[in-house]
Amino acid sequence: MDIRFSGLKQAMVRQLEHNSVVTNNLANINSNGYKRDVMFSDLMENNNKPKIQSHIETDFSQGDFRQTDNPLDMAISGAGLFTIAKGDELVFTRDGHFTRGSDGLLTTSSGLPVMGQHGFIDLGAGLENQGHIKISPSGEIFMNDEFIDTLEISSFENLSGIEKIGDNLFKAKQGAIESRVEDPGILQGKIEGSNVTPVYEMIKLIELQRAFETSQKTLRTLDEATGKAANNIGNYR
Amino acid sequence: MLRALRTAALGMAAQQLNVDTIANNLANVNTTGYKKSSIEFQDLLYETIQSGGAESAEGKEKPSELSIGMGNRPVSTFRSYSQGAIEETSNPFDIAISGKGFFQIEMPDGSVSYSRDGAFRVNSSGAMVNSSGLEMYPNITLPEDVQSVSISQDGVVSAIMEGQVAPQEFGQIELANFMNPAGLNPLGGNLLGATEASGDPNYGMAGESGFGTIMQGYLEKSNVDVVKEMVGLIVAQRSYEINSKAVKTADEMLAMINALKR
Repeated sequence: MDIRFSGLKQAMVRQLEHNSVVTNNLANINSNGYKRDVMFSDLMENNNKPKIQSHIETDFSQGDFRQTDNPLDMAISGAGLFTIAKGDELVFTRDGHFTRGSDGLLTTSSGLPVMGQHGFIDLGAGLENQGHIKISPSGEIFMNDEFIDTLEISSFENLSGIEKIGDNLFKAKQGAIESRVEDPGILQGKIEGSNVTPVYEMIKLIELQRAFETSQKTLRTLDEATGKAANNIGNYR
Repeated sequence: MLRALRTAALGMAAQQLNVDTIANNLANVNTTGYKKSSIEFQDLLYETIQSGGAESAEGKEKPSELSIGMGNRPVSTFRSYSQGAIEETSNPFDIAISGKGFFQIEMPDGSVSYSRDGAFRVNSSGAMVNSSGLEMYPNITLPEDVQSVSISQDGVVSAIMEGQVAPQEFGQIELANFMNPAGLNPLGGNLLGATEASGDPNYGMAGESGFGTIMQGYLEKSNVDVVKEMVGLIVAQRSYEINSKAVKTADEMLAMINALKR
């Protein structure tokens, strides 16, 4: 088999995967706190054989803020992520659309409890507690001016140490070094949208489609040449 | 390849739901006591193609993995219980709650549902009913020869009878409230039902701690902000469009694959 076929095959497979990454960014254009994925590919030479090495990184740049009416909606204006309890492990999110569950705990929209520095954040059961909730920029939660708890905002030394697990959540990989953010700059009544910029993704989509077309044309040319070689060489006597 | 097609299709479906939600808010812009809802999205699971930390052919550890997302999904329609505008009417049985709390309405099957719609009337037997004819719970019944009715801020219904000067009390409107009103289940007809997510109702009288006050002669309008909804509609439509472009790209790339072999 012609060695160039293998290189082109790898390139086309990677381009298809890259297309999926861009499409996923576009599908999540309205997911709260979504962070876009960027795929990088490098051509390596290994024993004279081409090899395409790819990896995906998450771009943790700030998404835009959307004003809502809900006092339990929060956005982090600086670094760090909200800490969420999922079963007995801790996961992280930038999606600050929280509600109060029927048991009084502050939860995410899928019902997972949000962690404070002293455990779950209990907004209290019963009517007398349905008061005015105020959240300070440093994450302190006050109900009727009474201090309840401080939001646990986690940060990582290296943001590639956390990976997406769906549901707007991130999980720490083994060996990721976690630290607490002391002054996260919490904005109350705002939600961080996704950081997907349509124009970048559209340009990437066009680029990818053309690159794929080029690979396809090259493969066809190669195929024609191989076809000629296979069928016509025998005729030159 | 089909992954991108599916992902973009999910994106389109999500935006369609977004438009549905906004359209419903806009349709109810003049519905008494209507509370706007908004839809929230989350990303789906990620498919790992190469795991991070694995050794590459050259024996080097890869710095990060190759995992590709599978699209998004709607996770909740969040109902905002912020106060709607309060509008004056001339009807003495129109009452609005300024603050927290819900009116209780007795359903035909005897169960109780909850509503912010305070457009009550009196039926032929003198009972206070909502605009669909369902009785308020606990029932308040007025006699025939009532001259004028007044409802106090704390919900006490009193009336002056014909030929009398002093008003007579006929009951007090009891309100209900919930730990998590966003968890209430809309039943249509401006009614809401309690669910496990909303928690059990707490009862109280208007003006008590945790409850708003009652205003006679006023109705609470919907809390839909038309400008916000219109902006949301534009965002939803453009997001739908961009996802349809991703479908088209995926389709064209698939066509090129098919054209590889003549």
